[in-house]
Order: sequence, then structure tokens, then C-alpha cells
Amino acid sequence: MRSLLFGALVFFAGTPSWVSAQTRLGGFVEYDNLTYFEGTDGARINGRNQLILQAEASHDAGEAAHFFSAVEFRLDQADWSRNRWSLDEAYVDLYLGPVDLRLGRQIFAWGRADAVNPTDNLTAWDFSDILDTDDEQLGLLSGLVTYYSGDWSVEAVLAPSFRASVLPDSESRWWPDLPATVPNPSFPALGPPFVRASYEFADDVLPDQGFDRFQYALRVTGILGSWDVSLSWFDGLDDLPALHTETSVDSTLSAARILVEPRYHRRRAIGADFATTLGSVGVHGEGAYYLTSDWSGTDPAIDDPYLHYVVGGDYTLNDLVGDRDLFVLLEWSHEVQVPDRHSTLRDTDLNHVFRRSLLGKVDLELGPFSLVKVEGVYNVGTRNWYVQPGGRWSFADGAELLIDLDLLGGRQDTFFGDFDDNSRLHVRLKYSF
Amino acid sequence: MKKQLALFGLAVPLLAAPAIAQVPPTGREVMETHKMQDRTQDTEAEIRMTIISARGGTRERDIVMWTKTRSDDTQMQLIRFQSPADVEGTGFLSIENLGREDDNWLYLPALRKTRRIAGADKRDSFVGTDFSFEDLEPERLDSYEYRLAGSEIVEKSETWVVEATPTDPKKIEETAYGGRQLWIDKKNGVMRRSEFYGRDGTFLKRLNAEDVRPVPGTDKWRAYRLTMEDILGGSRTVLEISSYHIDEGVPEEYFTQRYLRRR
Repeated sequence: MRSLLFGALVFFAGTPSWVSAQTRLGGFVEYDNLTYFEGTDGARINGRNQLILQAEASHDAGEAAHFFSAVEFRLDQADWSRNRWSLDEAYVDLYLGPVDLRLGRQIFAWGRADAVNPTDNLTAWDFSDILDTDDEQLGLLSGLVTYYSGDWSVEAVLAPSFRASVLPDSESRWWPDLPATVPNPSFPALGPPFVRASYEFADDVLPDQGFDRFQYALRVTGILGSWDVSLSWFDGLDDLPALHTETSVDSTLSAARILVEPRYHRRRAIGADFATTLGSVGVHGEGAYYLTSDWSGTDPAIDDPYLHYVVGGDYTLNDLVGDRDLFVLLEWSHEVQVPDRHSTLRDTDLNHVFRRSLLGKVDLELGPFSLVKVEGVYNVGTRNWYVQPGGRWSFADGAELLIDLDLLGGRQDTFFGDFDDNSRLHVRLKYSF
Repeated sequence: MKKQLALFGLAVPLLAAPAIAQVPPTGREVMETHKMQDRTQDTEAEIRMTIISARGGTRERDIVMWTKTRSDDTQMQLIRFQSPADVEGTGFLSIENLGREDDNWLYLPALRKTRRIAGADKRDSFVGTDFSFEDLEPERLDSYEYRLAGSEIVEKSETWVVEATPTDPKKIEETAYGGRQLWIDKKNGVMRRSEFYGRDGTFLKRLNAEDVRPVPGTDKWRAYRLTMEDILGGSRTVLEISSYHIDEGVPEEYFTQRYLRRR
């Protein structure tokens, strides 16, 4: 892995960012360091000392076609299990009059909200570090056809495959604390009300190969006056598994063995989004109604149908300090079960972290090449939070230093509260070429 | 004698003619000359931007800018970054509208998203340069009152000095400037210098246009080097235009979100 990374570095260091007007080679190199403020016991990894090389190649074949590919090499000296290389994207664009065709491994980014996008369901993510979602989308092998007519377009996506999101492994600091005791299923007939729990994880269960794994999506996008709008439909698999459990209590009635089986279920989503400006305020919103595979509400492991919407606005205060501007963005994210069966969407579930959340971001320019910022989320109902103060400094063309603090807090039975010992300093040095 | 009188009668208007020619134009007339020089059906320009901070640090960006004037005299503009690599593919699309707010979109390839931005954001710095979005807009004569303030020599060229004050309520709301002073070349109508003042009259920025020459194959004159200085902050941005292509038929479809996203 080291020699591969070094060889690639030497190759790209000696190559200009363009090779010809039609062919370009580029990408970035990033050094990424994490320091946690609290150590953990056991085998958990307490830092990151990582080098990333992303190598990109593109080629224009006149006005008719375009090719792009991006390969990522990752080397983490602190956690060798994170080392990998992956083909992030590799696709060809064909421009056929009013129709664009994109075929290959590609990343979709639907929706107009900033932090959370309910209408963005095609692309899976690498959540092995839950807070580090920068450039962590996973390309999906698929075909995209876009038809343009004036200010309107219709996009149709067919993905003959499924790619699940990557979840933290059991050695990760982002592996949740599982309950040490669980209710005794035999109580009150036999044994105490609670028993000690041990967990066993089965392999992932995916639909059979073939049409059961096909995913489809459709989106109509356009402009109505000064409003950007879209309507979308998604029919595919949830990129996060539902955790089905089977509990068996041992003969002494003191301990339970819980078999956890992650299963990926089909779901459909009808979505819409908009963006406009009201004077000097940008306003946006998007929502999706999820028709899960448990429409009847009988399987507790699978979500009941629900609506997830996000509305927000942004505003720039010009010349706040000297001629430096302050950018402010606020969003409200909310999930509502429709119909309401009084079941619970828990925000400890990765799919529902932003069930009732206030999200915000403030950027203050310090100069032409630097800014400081604060981003954060506060989960209103369960009172847990994540705040990221930080800054970035572009110290040369294509080169920047990014320093962030990730601070988490809340009760132990909440999403961010469970990880409150994962507060950390995150330093990255990135050079794009 | 009659002949002499007749000749004298002819001579009077001839003698008076230079005096009439020296009647200075109004500020509006000067700006109409500038507008005529500036106006094209479409333009493509390849530009290198050098941003120089107050401490002397420099960054370079290469962009291509396309503009097109529609039949109702409104303008469309597409700007795309070609380098450095961390901003390559970033695009800005602006569609001017009559009777309602302009449409502005920013495409950020790292996010793979097109974002509609508010009109008031025109005061924002254009990707870290000393130019704001509004500095890149064409002169909109009906949005200002122009007053001729005199004439001066700038870079060996005779210029009219014009004071521009925003009068259109929409412009007053959007602009960062309470007024501007403009130096318009008497020979060709090219803007040779511009000074920008805040709403409280503070001197904010100065734009200098150099290397003014005709664009080959056209009757248009253009500055091939523009320098914007931030008077308060001490930074400056230099635009060096390597080529102008004027009225060569930029397709209207360039000014769509489809092309904004296309690298």
C-alpha cells in the first residue's frame, strides 16, 4: 500500500495539472490528523494519522462526450483497518442534443438543503467516522438520463446494483454503547425483569441478486419565476440496515443472547424541494415522504412511513468587520410519522439523527484567504448537540490548512451524548493539483 | 461688399463652431458613449486573476467569462473557474430580469450542488477577490444619476469625470456603494478608472484600467489589464485578459444551469 501511494505521488508530482486541452490529470493530497481529548480503554483507536491521495483523470472528446474518474488511496498509520483504495467515480458523459447521458460509477447530490437532504437517497456514505463526511459519498454504478427543455429538466436514474453505507466497526470509537441489560422476554412468568445482554451480529442480509436490488429514481427540476423547484421519486434500498433481533434467555434466567441481523429493505420516497430569495435572504426547503416496507406498522425493526422535511434560510451581513462579511445559515429538520401510530423514530438511529433538529452555520471572513466558522446541530427533543468551531487558511494556490474542533454532548441515551467522549481536534492539510 | 458680408456671415458660424463643440456633454451622455462602447451581443474573455493580500501574498485564478445581451437589453453572464485545482469547475451564472430580482446561481463542484444566491449577495466578494459580484455587472444607466464633474488626464488619455449615484430603489437596496466616480476616455468611451464610495462616503475601492487597445476584428476597445484596489484593507486584485472574443455567437444555452454544471 505504501509503495502504491508513493508511486502515485511521484507520478502526479511530475505531471502538470493538465496534459492537453482535452485530457487533464489532477486530484488532491491530504494529510489528516485527529487527536481525541479522552482516551478509551480496550482496543479502540484513539487517533488518526492519515494520508489521502485522490487521483482524478478527465478527458473531453469534443463537445460530444466527457470522461471522468477518481481513485482514492487512503493510508492511516493509526488504524490500519482504514487503509483502502477505492474507485470513487468513473463515468462517461454523452451529450446528445437535448439529452445528456451519464453512465458508470457516479455520485448523486440531490436536494437544496445544506446539512441534511431528505430527497438525496441514491448515494451511500462512508460513516466509519460519523463526523467526517467530507468527500465520503460512495459512487453508485448507474445510468442517468437527463432531458432538457428550456428551464426544465427531467432526470431518470437506473442503478442495477446496490451499495450500502459503510458503518463504524466494533473497534471504532463510533460504535455505539449497547445496553448492558435488556428486558427479560419471559418476565413476569419467569426470572427477573431485566437480564444481562450479550450480542452477536449476523452477516448483512441483502435482497437477492437481480431485479430485487435494482434502484430507480426520477426527478423533474425547473424554474417558476424566481423559484427553483423539483419533484422527485425514489424506489430503492435503504442504504442503512434495519436491525432485526432475536433474544433468547439462558437456562439460568440471568443472561440473554441477542442475535442482531442487519437487513436492507426496500423503500420508496416522494420528494420535493425549492429555493428562492426574499429580498436579501435566501430561502430553501425540501422534504420526502418515505413509504417504508412496513406500511402496516407491524414490524418494530422497520420504520413506519414518515415525512422528513428541512426548511432554512441564509443571510450575509456585509462588511461586518471592516469589509469582511458574515454568512449565517439556519435550518430546521423535522420528521413526522404519517399516519401516526404512536411508534417512535429514535434519533439514536443513524437514519433519524435529525428528527427534531436545529442546524446552523456561521462563516466569518478574516481576509481574502482565511475564514473562521462555527457549525452545529442541536436536537431539540432529546437535548443533545454537536458543535464544530474551526477555520481554514489558504496559504498558497490550491493549498489549505483546516483546523476544527468537534465537540459533542448530551445525555448518554442520545446520539451525540453517547459519543461525548469523542470530542477532538481535527487538523487537515490539503493540496489540490 | 455684399460678397464680403456674405463671407463674413459664413464665417460667424464657422468661428462659433469650436465654441459649440466645447460645450461639455452631460454625465448621462458620457455614460451613453461608454455604454455604446461596452455593449456587445456577446463576449467571451479568458482572464487571469491575481489576488494580492495586504501582506503581499498572492493567489492566481484563471477564469473564462461569457456574456450575452438579450433583445430586451438585459444581460446574462456565466463565469467558470479553470484553475487552481481547488476551485476548478466553480461557476457563477447571472440572469438579469426586468421587473423582478435577477437570478443568480453559484455551482460548487466539491458539493456537486447549484445554489441560488440572493441579490443582496452581490455585495459579496467574488471568490476571495477584491471584486464583488456587482462589480462584474454591466453599467445599468437607468439605475443611476450621472453628473459630469470635469475632465482629467488618466494614463496619458483625456477623460471625462462622472459621478454616479444610485437612484433606482432596487439598486439602492442591492449595492454596497453610495456613489462612484468614473473616468471615461473621451476618445473611445472606455472606463479608465473608477472609484467606489460607501454609503457613508468612505472611499472603499479603486479600479484602474490599463493596456487599452482595440479588440482585433472589431470596432470595440477594451482594457487588457484591470486592477481593483481595496483602499481600506490594502489588498488588490489584478485581472489580465489574454483574449476577448466579441460577437462571435455565444449560444444562449450556455446561460443555463445545465452548462453551469458542465466542466
